[in-house]
Amino acid sequence: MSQINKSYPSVFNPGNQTDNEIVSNFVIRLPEFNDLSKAIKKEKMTKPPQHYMIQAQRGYGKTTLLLRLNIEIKNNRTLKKWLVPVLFDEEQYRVRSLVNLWEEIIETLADENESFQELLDKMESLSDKDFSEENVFNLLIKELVKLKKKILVLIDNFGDMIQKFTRKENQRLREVLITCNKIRFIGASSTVLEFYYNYKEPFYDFFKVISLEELNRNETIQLLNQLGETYKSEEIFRIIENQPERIDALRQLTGGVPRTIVMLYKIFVDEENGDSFNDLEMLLDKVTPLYKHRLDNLSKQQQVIIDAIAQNWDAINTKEIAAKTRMQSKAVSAQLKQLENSQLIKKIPTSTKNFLYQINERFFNIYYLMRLGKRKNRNRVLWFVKFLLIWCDIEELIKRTEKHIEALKSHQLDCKFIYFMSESLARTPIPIDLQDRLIKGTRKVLVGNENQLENDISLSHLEVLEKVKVLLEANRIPDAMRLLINDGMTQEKVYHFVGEYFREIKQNYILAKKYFQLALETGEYFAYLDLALINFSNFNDITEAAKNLRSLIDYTITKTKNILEIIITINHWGNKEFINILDSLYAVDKKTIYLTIKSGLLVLQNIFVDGIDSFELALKDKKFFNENPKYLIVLLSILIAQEQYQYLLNKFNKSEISRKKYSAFYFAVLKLSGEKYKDKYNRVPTAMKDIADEVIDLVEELRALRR
Amino acid sequence: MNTIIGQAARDEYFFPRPDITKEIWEKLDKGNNLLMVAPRRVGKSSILFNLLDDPKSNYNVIYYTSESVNNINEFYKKLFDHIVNSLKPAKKINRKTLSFAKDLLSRIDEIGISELSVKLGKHKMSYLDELITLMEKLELKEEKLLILVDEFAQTVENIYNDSNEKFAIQFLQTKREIRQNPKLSNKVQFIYAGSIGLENVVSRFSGTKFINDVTPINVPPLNRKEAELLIDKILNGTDIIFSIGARNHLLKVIKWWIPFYFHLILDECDRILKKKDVNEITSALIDQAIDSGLKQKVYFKHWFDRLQIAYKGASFSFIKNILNDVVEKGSLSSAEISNLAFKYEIEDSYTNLIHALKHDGYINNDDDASVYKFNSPLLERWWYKNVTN
Repeated sequence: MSQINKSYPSVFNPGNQTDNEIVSNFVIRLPEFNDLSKAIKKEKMTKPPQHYMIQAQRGYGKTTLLLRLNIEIKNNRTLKKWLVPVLFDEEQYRVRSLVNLWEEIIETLADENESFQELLDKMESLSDKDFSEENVFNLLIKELVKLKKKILVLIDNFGDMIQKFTRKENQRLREVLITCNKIRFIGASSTVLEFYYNYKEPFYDFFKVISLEELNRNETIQLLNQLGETYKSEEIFRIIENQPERIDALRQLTGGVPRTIVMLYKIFVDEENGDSFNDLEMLLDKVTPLYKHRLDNLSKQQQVIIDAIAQNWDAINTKEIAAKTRMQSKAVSAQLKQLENSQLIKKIPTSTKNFLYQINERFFNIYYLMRLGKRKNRNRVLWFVKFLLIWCDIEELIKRTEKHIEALKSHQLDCKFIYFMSESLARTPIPIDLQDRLIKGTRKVLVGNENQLENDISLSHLEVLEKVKVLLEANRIPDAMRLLINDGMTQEKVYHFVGEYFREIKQNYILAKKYFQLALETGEYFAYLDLALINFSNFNDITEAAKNLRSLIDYTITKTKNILEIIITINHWGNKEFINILDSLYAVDKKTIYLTIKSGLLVLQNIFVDGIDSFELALKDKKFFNENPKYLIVLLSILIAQEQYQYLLNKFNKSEISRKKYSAFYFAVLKLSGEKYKDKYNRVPTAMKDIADEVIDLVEELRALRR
Repeated sequence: MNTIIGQAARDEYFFPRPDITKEIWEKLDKGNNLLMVAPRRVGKSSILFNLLDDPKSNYNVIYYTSESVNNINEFYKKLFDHIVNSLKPAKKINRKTLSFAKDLLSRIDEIGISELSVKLGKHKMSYLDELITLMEKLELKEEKLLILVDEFAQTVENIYNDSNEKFAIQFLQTKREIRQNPKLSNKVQFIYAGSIGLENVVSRFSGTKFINDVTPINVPPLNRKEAELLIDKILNGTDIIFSIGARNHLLKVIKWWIPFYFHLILDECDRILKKKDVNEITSALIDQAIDSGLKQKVYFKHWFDRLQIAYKGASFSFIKNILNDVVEKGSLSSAEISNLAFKYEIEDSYTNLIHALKHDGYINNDDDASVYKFNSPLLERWWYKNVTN
């Protein structure tokens, strides 16, 4: 359908494309384009025509839509006989008054069509005294009448333009638009201005508004398909086909703004020289005055709140904002309301009555991170890291990193791009030795660049660990912790890390306990298990250890309902004494959950007789599993992982486990039981087979973990 | 879909209002000058253009919108030009008169409008005199010249704001002189139209007496039959299904039946239909269209903010209460409004507040003088979601 271009249009200036490129790349905004071009073709403008206003935020495709319309009219055989498009440059710095507008139209007409040269000459020969709005306009109209032509004026940033006009000029422009059948206006505007919403303003409700909205899923796919075609990327088609959830995540990340999607993708595929990154830099330069103005208009408190939300990138709740800004929640709430009213932030409902808040315009958030963060702020690349995490699985990330390390050696990449891409990849979960190679390779290449970026590049995880080790040895614990936090580790994990250091390296169990306790208090509830282990193994305090384990189980049940994690972690410790603790807990409380965990643990440890005994005992508590089917699912998964097929088939056949309720597991067992049940399995409906396969995948993962 | 938004509806887009045009021609035939005042978007200009496009046989109609004019000479110069330019192609103007006009125009081009009165010497308002001479010289035989002056009240307000009260009064006086000039009264007639109330504007400088010779013309909202016909007209030529139930829902949602809101909401419905690739307008789709219209019109908040800035204390509470009640009940009677005024103890001043709400486009009582409704169904929905609740 389209010609293949070497690269996708500049996100900075869509006008730099050839007509062919514009047409072939134009895959979104088609309904709007079709409506407009149909209306233009249908109405011969015998009377003053309908005027339009394309309204949308920056980056939604307004300029490109105007460009596309321009080409359509220029090339339509019937239309071009009587209608001439007049496309203005995106920026109209020269047009400061109405006479400038007519002047610009005449100059553009003469530039594009020789037949209007005479008109330009006539205008230029007007004396200063005669160079009035009315005279220039009359010249234009007379010439149009003479040439039997009408014009379609396509003006980007229409709102900005008429804001410079006086009230009288705007009233006059409306007079022209309502009485003149020689001119049709299609404007585009990213700002909703008073001229449009104020009942007393001349252009109140005057235009037919075409609103461009954020891309929906289908439109995003269309755009991505086009990007895939342009860059000959098979991968993009694979994602569209097999991982549609990534498309939704991408839409969420970019706010469905086409320009941001294209920009992200261009940076992503740019492996040759980093030009795409210059595009981003130019775009950021361009929006700087506007965004700066937006921020300057905020109160101090609002600026602090915006900073907290922007630095977080992902949506964040009031309590978290209050913590980050050291403000009272009440004060934060009041300011959030105002910020929401002024459209700076977006309120996102959750399943609870609390809301999450996010910077509304995603590109503003990118600008904020890239330009307003401190030089060494790792958050600068946060938005791109999020994109990489959405778009690539771990293998792809490793592959990209390897490729990037190779590209570094060519010395052809732009320094800023190197810095940006290396920092981003370094923050994805690639193996730490690869991350170390990436960082060291980058630093080497950057040495001597004019921006001294080699000083800004972060330490690798391994470098951090080296330093942390030295600091801990020197007993500079706060410094060590700070370094870990700067490396992206969360506070509770840092406490946990230090706890482990004292337990494993120093065998200082008192200090280890202190840090595990701190980890617990900051939210690392798994520290209960560490505490249990220390109390049990090092302090011989079984009562305390049992208390710790009970707390962990209680917490798990009430908060996450995921007991598989506990079972796997306890199994990982390999300490069989935990079984005794679970027994003692069960002896006191008679809670089936303890039996469930015990059963899972024993089966995982290949102690089948005891494990199945516990399972049988647990199964008697029908109410428990009815209320918590997830727990039975965990046990079924473990039993399947340990190949207890025949035992499970008996349970299903005797209806001790419901075949209907746990059909996926039943069919999985049938399939895994092999030849004997082949015929039976073959009769299973295809849809159910797919679900059974999902169970088998899950079981495989569990087996891998066990290993 | 055949929708038109903002622009005056002409030719195939015009929805005929035979009752109104009939009344206009009858009153004109009796020699009256007319004043057509209605809020923005009611369709005044469309009616004026219909008079221009389809005039009665013995009328030469000229349309003149003077929205941007802010001084007296400019008004008359532009009117002069309009008359010459409109009548010349139709040869309604004889050679002698034309050469007079040309001569005058060249003198004006040399000296500019503001200096005109000085250069032409003897008369204070000489351009007006030249215009009167031009009109007197017109040989229209049995025909009449009908001048439609759109946005006239805006011009008066511009002159009042940009010059001063004296000039505004002078302007109205000159207008009255033309209307009452015996040589012209059988020859030239005016229809003044405007979205801001002329009476409101002139009452600021006690100018009412200068316009009391003009006969008012109302532009009432559509009646049910007309509204149904308009819907048919908009949907004509499409394969859109629109059940009676859904139609009733649309009529219920649009409380004030002016063509603009039918165009606006059906246009949005059309957009959604295309997006969903379906062809039936249901009640739910109408609600969705209004909500999506609201989404586009993020600036509705300014309608509320403006009131908050302009009014304080009891006045603001009263206004908020009125608008909330109109939204909740669908409409509010004059009696209910006056009860509220007593509640807020502003019974002496509340009528000004109601006038202001009408004037600024919030509510109207055009359908029934004693019942107030929201102008815009979109604003009404926004208000319900964001202020009332």
